Amino acid sequence: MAIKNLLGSTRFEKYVAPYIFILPMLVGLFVFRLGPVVWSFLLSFQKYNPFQGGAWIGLQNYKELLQDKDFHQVFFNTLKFTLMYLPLGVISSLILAVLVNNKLKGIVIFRAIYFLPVISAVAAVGTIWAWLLNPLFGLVNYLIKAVFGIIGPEWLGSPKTALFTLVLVNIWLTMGYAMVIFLAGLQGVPQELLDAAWVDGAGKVKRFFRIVLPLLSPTTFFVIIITIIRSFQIFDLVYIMTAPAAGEGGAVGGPANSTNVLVISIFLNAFSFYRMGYGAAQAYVLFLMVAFITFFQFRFQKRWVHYQ
Amino acid sequence: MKRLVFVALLALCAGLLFAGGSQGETAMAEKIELRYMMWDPQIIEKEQALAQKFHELNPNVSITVEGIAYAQFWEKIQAMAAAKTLPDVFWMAVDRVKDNQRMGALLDLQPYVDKLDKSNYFESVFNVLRAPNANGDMYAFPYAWVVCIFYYNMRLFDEAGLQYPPEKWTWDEMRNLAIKLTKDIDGDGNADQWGYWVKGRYTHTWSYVYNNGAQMVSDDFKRCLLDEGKGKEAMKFLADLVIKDKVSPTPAQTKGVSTFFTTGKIAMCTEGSWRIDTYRKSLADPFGITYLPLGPGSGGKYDSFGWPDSYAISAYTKHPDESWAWTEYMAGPGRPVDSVLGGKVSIWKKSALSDAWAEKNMLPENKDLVLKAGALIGKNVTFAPGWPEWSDQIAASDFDKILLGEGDFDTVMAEMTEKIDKVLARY
Amino acid sequence: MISTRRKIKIFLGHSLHYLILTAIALTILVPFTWMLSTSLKGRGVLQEIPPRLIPEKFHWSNYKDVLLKYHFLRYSLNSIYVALMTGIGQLFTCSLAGFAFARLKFWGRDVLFALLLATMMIPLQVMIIPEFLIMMGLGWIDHPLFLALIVPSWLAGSFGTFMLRQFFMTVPTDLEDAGRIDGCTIFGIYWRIFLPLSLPSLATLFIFGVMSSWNDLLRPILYLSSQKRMTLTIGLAAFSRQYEVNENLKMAGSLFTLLPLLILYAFAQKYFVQGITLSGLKG
Repeated sequence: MAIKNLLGSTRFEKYVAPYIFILPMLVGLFVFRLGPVVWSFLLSFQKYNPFQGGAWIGLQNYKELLQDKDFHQVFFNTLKFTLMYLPLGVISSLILAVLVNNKLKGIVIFRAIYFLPVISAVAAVGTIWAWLLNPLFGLVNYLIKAVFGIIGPEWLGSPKTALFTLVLVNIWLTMGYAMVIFLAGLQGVPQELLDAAWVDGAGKVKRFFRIVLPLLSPTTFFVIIITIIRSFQIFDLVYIMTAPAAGEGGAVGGPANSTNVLVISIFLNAFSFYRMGYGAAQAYVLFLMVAFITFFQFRFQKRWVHYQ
Repeated sequence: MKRLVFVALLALCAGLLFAGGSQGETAMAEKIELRYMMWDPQIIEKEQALAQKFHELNPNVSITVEGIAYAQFWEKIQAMAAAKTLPDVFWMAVDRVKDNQRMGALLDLQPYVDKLDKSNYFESVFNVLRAPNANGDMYAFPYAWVVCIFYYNMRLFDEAGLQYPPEKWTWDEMRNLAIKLTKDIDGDGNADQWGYWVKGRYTHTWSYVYNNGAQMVSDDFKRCLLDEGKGKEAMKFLADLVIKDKVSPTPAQTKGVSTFFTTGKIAMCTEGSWRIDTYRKSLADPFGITYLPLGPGSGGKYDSFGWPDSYAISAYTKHPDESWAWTEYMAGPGRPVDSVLGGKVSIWKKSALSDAWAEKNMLPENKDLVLKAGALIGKNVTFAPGWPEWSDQIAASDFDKILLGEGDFDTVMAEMTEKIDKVLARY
Repeated sequence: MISTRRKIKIFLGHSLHYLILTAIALTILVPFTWMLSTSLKGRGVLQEIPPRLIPEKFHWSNYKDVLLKYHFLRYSLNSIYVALMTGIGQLFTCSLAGFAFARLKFWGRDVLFALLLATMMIPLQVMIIPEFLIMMGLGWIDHPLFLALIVPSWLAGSFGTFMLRQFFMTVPTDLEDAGRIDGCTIFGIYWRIFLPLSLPSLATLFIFGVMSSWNDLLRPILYLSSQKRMTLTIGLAAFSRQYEVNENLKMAGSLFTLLPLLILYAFAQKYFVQGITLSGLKG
């Protein structure tokens, strides 16, 4: 009885209870995430190799980044990728979610199919797409020639088209992901609100834009933030589709560095060039960029995100 | 009295037993466990079987074999190094020997190597593993090696009524053959068959630099020499084959097909000897091999570009002698002959010169050319420090730019050299 | 009674809908058909020019090899264990924390939330070495219970916390007030009201947790060394060798690997539908 009183007391609830709620997460955060984050931050000011440890060099890594033309290209590649991927990706997932948010017969099968790419190993799927998009022998260009009679683009072979090709494949790969999140959000829209609007004479489209989208906005906000963070960190797909073939020895992020994005560059610097400090500096430039954008999003959200 | 004598005798026997046997016993009693890491999990059972055999010969040493997928191998090695738990023996890539030695990760193997009977091995290969430069000690030990050779598609030559390439020939002769063998079969204005395939990768580009009497990097590893003299001449020759003479497909066209030669649309190419295996399986046409053509700057001297697969021992292993024993075993007598076949050559001469390796019933007919080319493996400058950065990433990307027509030859070569110099300056 | 005209309109509408759905489904299925086709091909035929969809000979033995010779059956047990534990654990931690961030006011709330998000923005590649050192220090390398793989995602689920926070912020305050009137403590409100409402989101989080663990490669590679403990992703990576890639086996392995997730997803789909309607509270 006394315990119940204690637990129910407003003081307890206001000052202690929240921390109990977040305790497990806090432990994990401090032990497994913050330690490595701080370590890697300090690393960006060092010249480090795993065999001998680190030597402090202050801002040298960052200074080098400012002058490194290849890094500039890497930075802009990443930015370009995100700018292309974000709108196309979010909108396509939303459309998919709307298309499958109903009780049509067999809709479950479609939902499962759309989710397939998300759960597949990127290594396998990336290889298949690289194969399908082969400029000379791939199925896609073969179909383009058969149907439209023109020679298809060079996809991953040309520096002009490679990055966009990766955007398209990545959308194919991930649209099921945000679709599921949007679906959960759509399911949360109270049916009576929609019914009431229908009674008032609002058509499907009007209901969507006036009721569904605003109610969906917290979910949309979430999807946008996550998409930006993930898009800046893309690695596996780019590596699989642009890495030289077995035994070749060549550049990743090709052709001619056109698809060399930040995490590829970080990976190469850390594990191939033995320059982990330099890689860490790049990671923190990435972090600054993403944090900046995210901060802006959070500030801006008051204008369009509706919470209860 | 009797009892005393008895006890004394017993003590004496015991003393003899333990004293006499103790020399051998102490060494035998210490149980040693070695950790061995390799990057081909698919053959892990075979390696474990060899470890077992070694254990039978050396009962006090047991070896745990760990296999990590090739692409993740270096990440794991570095994580283990940071935690000071490097394996005792591990596979080493030739292009990382100098970097790893510089960072103090590897054990100096020269004292052990000096005690070997060199006539059992292909010594020309040893030099590639010296660090920090050509006069240094060996920091890794080879167990198999490969060399770059020239391949040609016999069917395409027969169809064109041309003689196969000879063993000693020049760039001009090669170029002429390539032009004759490039055809537009269906008349749509695009070539369907190419005389040659230029690949902007180390096996290819650096082979040509060497065979023009040049090198990519100066002997002291300070300067990139590709933007001048014979080095630049070699790069121009290759670039022109694609851009001017158009006897080779561009990288955009060959994107996604790693061994374009297997399509049967290429008459000639330069590749590593390990591709003999690939071509036997995937090329429908008969093929032959020969030496690369010599460039005008070579002065008639042939310089083979070859390198080994090797083992390295951790610099802070607790059991260097046993680690070396395992390495020597796997590089020589312990390794079964059939584990190194096809275009790879065992460092152990007996295995390489055996009938099993000769594979007389398989293509190519003159497989022993690989052995001869191996003897001509030249300079050690090849794998200068920072190779993954300057050769794999910078040189390959920039040369592709030229081949794709995205940049003018002179400008890009100058930029590339500047970038490479910056990388080299760090060492 | 719906008029015939209306019936036709509905029929046409549905047909168009199905058409669009099928067109999209085709773009998804074509690459998978190629995966299947490649998985049944023999070794030398992989990069045929021009590529052929139906293999000349069906090498069903590829699947047998993948499962037995390449240990995928054993690996799948390990993967299932790790993925399920990861998925379940996250549900508690993330919903508790998500609720707190969404509904409670406490000192340091916004800073902590920002910190949470920030840790998601650093790529794994720079954090993996210190993480490895931590695991070594805890003695969790090659642990029989796979602690190194399970515990971090249990405890530090930034993604899940963020997702559930967003969801919890959409729950109307009247529900919370109703709960208060009924005499619920804050825990009661969490447990009795918010949690059941979030079933679709929880189901989603579970799937994502299972998925990210299932397809994780770097952590299993670093934290496992005994062959018997390895996961499916490690098995798949082994097919990419130094001088060649066993594409056919890799595809067979990939298709096998995605099967359990597909089954799980199909099964969990019913939880995506909102279970509790709000109207019940009005009365």
